[in-house]
Amino acid sequence: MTRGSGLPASKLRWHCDPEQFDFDSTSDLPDLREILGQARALDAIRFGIGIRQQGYNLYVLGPPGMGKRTTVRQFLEQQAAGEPTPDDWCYVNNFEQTYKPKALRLPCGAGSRFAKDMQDLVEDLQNAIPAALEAEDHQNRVKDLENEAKERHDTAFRTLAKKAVEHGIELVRTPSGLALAPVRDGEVMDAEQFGKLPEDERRKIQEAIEGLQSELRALIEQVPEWRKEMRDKIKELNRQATHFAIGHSLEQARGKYADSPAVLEYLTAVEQDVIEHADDFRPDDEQPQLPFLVVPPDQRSFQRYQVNLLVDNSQLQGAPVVAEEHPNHRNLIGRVEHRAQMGMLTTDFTLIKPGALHRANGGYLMVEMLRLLSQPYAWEGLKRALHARHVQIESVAESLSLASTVSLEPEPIPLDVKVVLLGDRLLYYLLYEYDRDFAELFKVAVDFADDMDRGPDSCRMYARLIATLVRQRDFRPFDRGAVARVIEFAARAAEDSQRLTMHMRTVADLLAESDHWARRSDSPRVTAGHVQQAIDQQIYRVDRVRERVQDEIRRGTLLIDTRGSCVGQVNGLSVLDLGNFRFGRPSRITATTRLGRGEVVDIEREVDLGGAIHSKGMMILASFLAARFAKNQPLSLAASVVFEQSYGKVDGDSASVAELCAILSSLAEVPIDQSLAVTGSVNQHGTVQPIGGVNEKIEGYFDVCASRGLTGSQGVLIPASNVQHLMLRQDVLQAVADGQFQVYAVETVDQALELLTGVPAGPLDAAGQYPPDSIQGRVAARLAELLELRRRFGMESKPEGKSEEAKS
Amino acid sequence: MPERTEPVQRRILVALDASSRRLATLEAAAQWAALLRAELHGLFVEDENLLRLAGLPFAREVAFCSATMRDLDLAAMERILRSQAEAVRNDLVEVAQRVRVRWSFQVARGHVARTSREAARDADLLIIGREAPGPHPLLPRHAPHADQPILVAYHDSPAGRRALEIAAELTPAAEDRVSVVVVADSPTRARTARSTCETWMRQHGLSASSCTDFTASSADDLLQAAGNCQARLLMIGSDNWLLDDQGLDLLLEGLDCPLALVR
Repeated sequence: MTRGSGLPASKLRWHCDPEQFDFDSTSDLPDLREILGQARALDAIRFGIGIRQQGYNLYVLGPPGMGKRTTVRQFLEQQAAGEPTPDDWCYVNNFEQTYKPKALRLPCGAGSRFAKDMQDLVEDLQNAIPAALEAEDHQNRVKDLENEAKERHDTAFRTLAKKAVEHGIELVRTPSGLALAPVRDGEVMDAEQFGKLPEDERRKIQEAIEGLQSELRALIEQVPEWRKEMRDKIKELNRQATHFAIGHSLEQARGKYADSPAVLEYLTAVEQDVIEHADDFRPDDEQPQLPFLVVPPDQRSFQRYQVNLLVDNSQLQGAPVVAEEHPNHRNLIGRVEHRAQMGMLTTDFTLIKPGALHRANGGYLMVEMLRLLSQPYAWEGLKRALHARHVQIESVAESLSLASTVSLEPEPIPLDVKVVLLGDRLLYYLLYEYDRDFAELFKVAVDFADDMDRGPDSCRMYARLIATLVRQRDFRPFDRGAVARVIEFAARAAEDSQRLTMHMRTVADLLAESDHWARRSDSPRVTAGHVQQAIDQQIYRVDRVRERVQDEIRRGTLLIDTRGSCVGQVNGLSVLDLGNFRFGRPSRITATTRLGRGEVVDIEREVDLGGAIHSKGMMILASFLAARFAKNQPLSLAASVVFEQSYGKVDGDSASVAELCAILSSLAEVPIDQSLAVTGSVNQHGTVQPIGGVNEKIEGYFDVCASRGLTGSQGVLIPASNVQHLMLRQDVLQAVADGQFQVYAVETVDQALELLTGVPAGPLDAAGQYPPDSIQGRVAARLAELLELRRRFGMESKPEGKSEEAKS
Repeated sequence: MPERTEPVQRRILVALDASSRRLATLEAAAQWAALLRAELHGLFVEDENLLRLAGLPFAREVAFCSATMRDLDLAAMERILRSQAEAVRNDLVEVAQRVRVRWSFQVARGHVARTSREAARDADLLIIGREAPGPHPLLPRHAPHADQPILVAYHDSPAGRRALEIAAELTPAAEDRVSVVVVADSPTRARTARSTCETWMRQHGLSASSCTDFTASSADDLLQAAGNCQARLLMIGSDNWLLDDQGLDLLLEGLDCPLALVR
């Protein structure tokens, strides 16, 4: 039986014809304003931005490198530019509860003015208050009050002293108080002199002293009260003077913020505090005991009147779009910093620092989901803020009782922000499944397409996309040949000749590298040759492993036959994925068959090297055998299948056609042509199904054959449904065109068998029998032999199946 | 004690007690001693009135800080005075060494003002930096500032003129101020004294306008003058007729600044 010819070269690759383009180079193309191929994602973004309901935040799905971030940012910025600029936010001192700073909302741009106004106000007060308090008339009044008090004090003591003198007694000052002593001739009497006095006189003096002592005691008890009275009067006087002195400045400030009740309330609190602490504004002449520990007066006293401008939107046009690159808890929610002072950590409202939520408030916040999840408590903090619809700054360390420094409880700030999370699909599905808050807070999925349909219009749009990237990154112009080659590359990257990849990083990298090679060759334009050079160099840089595998095959270490024929042995094809590069590798698959009870042993599975999908493929294969050849009789067969020289995990079902062919070859004892390789999965009816990595697989086998010298009979069998995915290398195409290599598209296992063995598969005849010379006829005959053998050995009496066998 | 190369020509006696104002007085006295190249002699007088009082069997004091009454006894009083003398001496040593002036220290027992004046017989200047024997002041006393003037209570006598001389020496910088008040017991004597004073001041480069129109005829007048100009030091000739024991006590009681008696 002749094999027939394979697919024509034209079917093996879609060729992007540069002549279809009406431009000479990318310089002739306008920028692409719209975002290409992401209509669904853009609709989702528009919806997410437009809907003003809680929980309608966005999660942008798609693998890294799709340009999600750039696209979303670009879109958000366009949207935000037309939105109102949000208000400024400040933190100010809470004069009643210092540990609970107050948040003030001010119209955009007014925050910085308010901070400056408060600074100016304090400067004014620094002049006005000392001037008022040091004014001569005020000082005279203070002195009057002091003198009045002093006079009362002195008079009281003098009166007592005078009264004492009348009794021959003097008021004497002791080291810690006052005493009353009998005097004679201006001198205090000693005990001897006193003893010589008549008893009556002594008694009188003692009685007088006792009475005076009580009065003295009452007088001394009065002294603190007099002091307090005097201080209160002076304080009230200072208060009045201060109130008058600051009145004008404060009225000016009030006038500026008349439409902001919160600011007016704050200014009233400032006024009260300034009046209470007017002395802080007076110059301090006292020398500190420890000069190095002294805080400058401005910091010490007036810091509490400062305005901590937390969010300043004065320079912003429209709503903010903030991308937080390091989304840890403090960078998102904000933080309260501390300063070390005399070995202690202290803080105040001026050390409150904003987080990304503060800066994005009234606009949009973009965060990479993986980075967010990798930061402890950041995700929880973000969810808490979105749930509560306000930002409450709190320290993680303090909430976990890990730190016990003085801290603050700043007033929460209302939050109105759209959060846009960017991450891969797996994270989205996992979060949706396992985090109940996620579904509630991120209701808008923005799913970025991996690729787009290819057609004449889309190719032209793609060309404009290339032109835009070229201009944005200041590359040399790409001629249309180069553009066409890039588009072909995009189809290959999409693994589909009918589609173009939307993985922008891959495309942008190719453009950059093509530009590099063009510059190296001093070419004013980037040509298809430069693009090809870039592709070749990309592969060259990463294909060390592929080269090594090919070398080992060539040297015969890895056993792959590319000519001759062999029973129960077929060339299968697998793909090795190295992250940024993948390549096809031929693998020898062998099968042995013997008398058994219908079991097909997957040796990979037996040693735990086979994955679940591979096992599934093997079970389908066994089912196919049973369905086709043992409908009415026991399948008296045992088969073992193995990937020879495979020492790692094997997964996927793309080798199931090859494995089935190897088993059937073994059963029928019909040799398989080793110049062919086969890939494809099979279903229970023998239909060949598509697989992934078809291009790499074909090229992998081609490289082995080419290294040994192409014979013209070599080729690869692929599922017919994979033909649309073919984007093969130019050298493969050339070999096919020259008749040196073939690619066969098969739809059924029977077609594959016929190509591999050169023997007809043998359809059932009218009597329901397979022709004896056909493969299936031979298989049926062999199975009948095995059944007979089984009967002969008395095996027919034993029940089939593992469970029944266990019973026996 | 630091060595000085210049011969000591003058002696300043500073009489101190244990009150808080002693440090400011001591500091000022040491600075003046350095300026005048004088030896600084510290004096602590153990008040004999206090010791007598403490010896009385019924002696009790009322404490300033608590208004409680407690018994006094002689041994305790002596111990307190010794302790105060030691504290004063330590302060004197510390200040004198820092300012690099010669110093000496003496503890005497007797009437404070009288004993101080007797001890100051061979001193050029007696500075009394102790609190008055009267009641505890109602207002806290502030340490004097250098920009406050030295007030000279001038009367026509050698000691009075000497007070002017020393005040001029203590205020060499132009911005230092001397204020003069004439002490006289009659308008005629006041006119004569003022004229003499202004002449002397002109001759010695001092502004005659420093001589105020105010005439003090009592210790109370002097206190008022010192209060009005917020003097940092009241300087007066030791032979001034206002300085009897009662007058001296009155000044010490009422002054917010140290008192310097010039011999």
